[in-house]
Amino acid sequence: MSAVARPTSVEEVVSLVRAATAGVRVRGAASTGIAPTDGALDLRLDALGGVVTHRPDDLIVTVRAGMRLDELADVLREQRQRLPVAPWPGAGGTVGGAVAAGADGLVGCRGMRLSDAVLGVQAVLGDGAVVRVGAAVVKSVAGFDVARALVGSRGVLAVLTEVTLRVEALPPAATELRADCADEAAVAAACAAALADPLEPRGLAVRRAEGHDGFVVALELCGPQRAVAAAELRVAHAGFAHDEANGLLARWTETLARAPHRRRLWCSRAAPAASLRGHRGGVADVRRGVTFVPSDAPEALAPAALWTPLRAAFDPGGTFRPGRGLGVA
Amino acid sequence: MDRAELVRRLAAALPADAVIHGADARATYALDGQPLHGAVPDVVVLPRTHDHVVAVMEVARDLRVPLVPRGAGTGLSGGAVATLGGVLLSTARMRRILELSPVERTARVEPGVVNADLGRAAAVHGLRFAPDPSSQAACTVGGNVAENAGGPHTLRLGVTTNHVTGVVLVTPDALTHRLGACADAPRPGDDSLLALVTGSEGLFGVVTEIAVRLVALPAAVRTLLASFPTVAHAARAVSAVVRGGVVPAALELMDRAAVRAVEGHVRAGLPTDAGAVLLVELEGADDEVDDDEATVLAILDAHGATDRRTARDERERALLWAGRKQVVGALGRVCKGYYTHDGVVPPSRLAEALTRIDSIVRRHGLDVATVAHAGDGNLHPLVLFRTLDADELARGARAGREILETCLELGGSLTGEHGVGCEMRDLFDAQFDAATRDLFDRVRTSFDPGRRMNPGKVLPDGAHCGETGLPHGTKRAAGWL
Repeated sequence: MSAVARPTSVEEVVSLVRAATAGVRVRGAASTGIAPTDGALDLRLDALGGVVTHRPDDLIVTVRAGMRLDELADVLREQRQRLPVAPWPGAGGTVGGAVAAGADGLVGCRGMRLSDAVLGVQAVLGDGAVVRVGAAVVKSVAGFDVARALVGSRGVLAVLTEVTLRVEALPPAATELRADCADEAAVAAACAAALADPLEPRGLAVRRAEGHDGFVVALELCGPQRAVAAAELRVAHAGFAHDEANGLLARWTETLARAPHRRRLWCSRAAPAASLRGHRGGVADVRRGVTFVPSDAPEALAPAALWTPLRAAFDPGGTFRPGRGLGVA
Repeated sequence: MDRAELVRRLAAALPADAVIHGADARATYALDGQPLHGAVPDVVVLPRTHDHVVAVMEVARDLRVPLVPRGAGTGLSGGAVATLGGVLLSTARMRRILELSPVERTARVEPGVVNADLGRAAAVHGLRFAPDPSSQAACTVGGNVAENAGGPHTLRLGVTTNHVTGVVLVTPDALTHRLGACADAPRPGDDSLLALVTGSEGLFGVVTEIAVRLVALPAAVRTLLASFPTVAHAARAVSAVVRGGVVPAALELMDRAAVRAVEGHVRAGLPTDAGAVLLVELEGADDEVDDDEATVLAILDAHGATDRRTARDERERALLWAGRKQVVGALGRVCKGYYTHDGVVPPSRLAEALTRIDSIVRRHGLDVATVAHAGDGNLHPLVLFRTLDADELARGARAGREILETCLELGGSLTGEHGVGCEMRDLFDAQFDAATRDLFDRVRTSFDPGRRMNPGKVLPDGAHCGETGLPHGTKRAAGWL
């Protein structure tokens, strides 16, 4: 049984990391992820929450890493803003957890991924050193891009304590559409039409339909009202229509979050549905060319020749417990 | 280092025309796009293939000599200068586009492919490579990756790191690593390595192949020009546009000195009596652009735009952009030399930053002309020199330092797109504390334990950017336009 610690300040995180003789496994609100079973400290960051600074005029927000994503969404909405991506899990999960997991979600304007929204971080390294990388501006090439490197690093490099993110204005109009497709060829045609539309989709994903052999394609559009309305008319020719239930992409994102094990596959735009063969619960993110499939099969390992020394650079004493796929020797 | 042995080993490993060791020929590689620091490499190699690069890395590893990768040498922070000598590896002959898939909207290229050449190849299919540094007619994709290059249109579309999906990296131990989209399957951790390699300024290895995403050319483009009575008015308008929700493709600011210089040069029709002008480019679907234009014009008017117009056709649009892109060249005609800075401030502090920069430069008895990728707060104040004497250069250096300190004080960054290179060592310490610099150093040695890749750049090596062995006269001829 592992001890649980819920620090409320960076200083506490530093002391806990320094004192942890049996190692540390970092978690956000523990909404996903693996509980330590090896005696390592179960370091949960959900008590290290709140906004540090929100500069709505500059489209930038800095939060403590344990802030819940849904709380951040509420804060941003007051200024008619939001994150440019919708990482999983939306409810309950923390900003730091989403960043550490590289939980892209399925939407993002102009192809943005979560790593494109992370501008800077404060983090605690394995030896307790506190570092601050990146900058609170949208463009900076000063220093190596460690902030971006920590996205998807699964808690094996550092404990994130603060994250600076870019935000965007809520669009005047947004809509989600669906196309029901009988076969892989129909999926490819629907996706091609959506991708060719002059109004760039904010999200485009494919899943196998429930209960039959077909597929569902979900498309999110946003922008000025007239532009969205006009795009809706254009993609209607490719079979896209309003979905009565609505919120498909959000539901699919949550399904992904709940899957205990996921694997990524490449997804081709020419044949998006092909990557779902044999993976009934998978979701293909067509714009980003990645399909997420629930799978117990071991992931490919991170390249050890580069990762082993990199881990030592962040965590010289091996304090942080190996994460899935990043547990290189 | 035994230079003769180095040349002999390289000549044995590469085709005869790939090794340059004559003194005059090597001297042409002493500088890059910045004018202050030069150094003649001990030998220059021009590999054509990945295997050639590996062979060079093996020789440099065995003889423990520094190795500096170089694209087109257009960089503005000294990144492609062999500060401590050693091997300069030019990727100029690795210029094949290996694959361009219009359906997948991806390309795989060798590092020496010129940015604009990739752009032209993509445009045939209605696509583009988004990063568009002003040097795009000459700079290479490999150089863009090394410096994480930006450009005017990265406001909407993102900088190089947002578009690189994979690389083939040869590390200083001469091992090859296929990362991201260049690997067979997605692997955890590859994105982190890609994030570090992009913008590493040649300190982690040599990239021999790059996978990038391409984005659609827009259905509609609209280019607006607006004049303002003062720089502060224009800067406040920029901040309001950023807050307003429209994300322009580009949002550029030019002050009066910049406009006057360029109008004496290309006659783009820019108003020479305005305190500053903004160039706003909108893109997207037709009706999207219509609505965005109305939103932006209302904001510009509310912030004191005295004159505004929309380019009526492609010719007018090209002329406005020629005005913007030729500012730096035009300034070469009105002064003896200039020094470009690359600081960044939050858009809401733009007015204050520009006002303070103006007074800093004047206090040092110099003039300044400013162009800025204003939408993302990235400033290029050009400190202008009249005589280039030692006193003036010293005053210019002091002014430059104060400019960058001001950017940091206002919550910004030392460099938005040019890179740290070899010139802002002390200021780097002002942006990052000791623990963070220590981490940077450890990350660097995790890729390069021997510290042989591009030594003297980004992080302290106990060596300063020198002018070791610079032939007399090279600096002025190559550096000061």
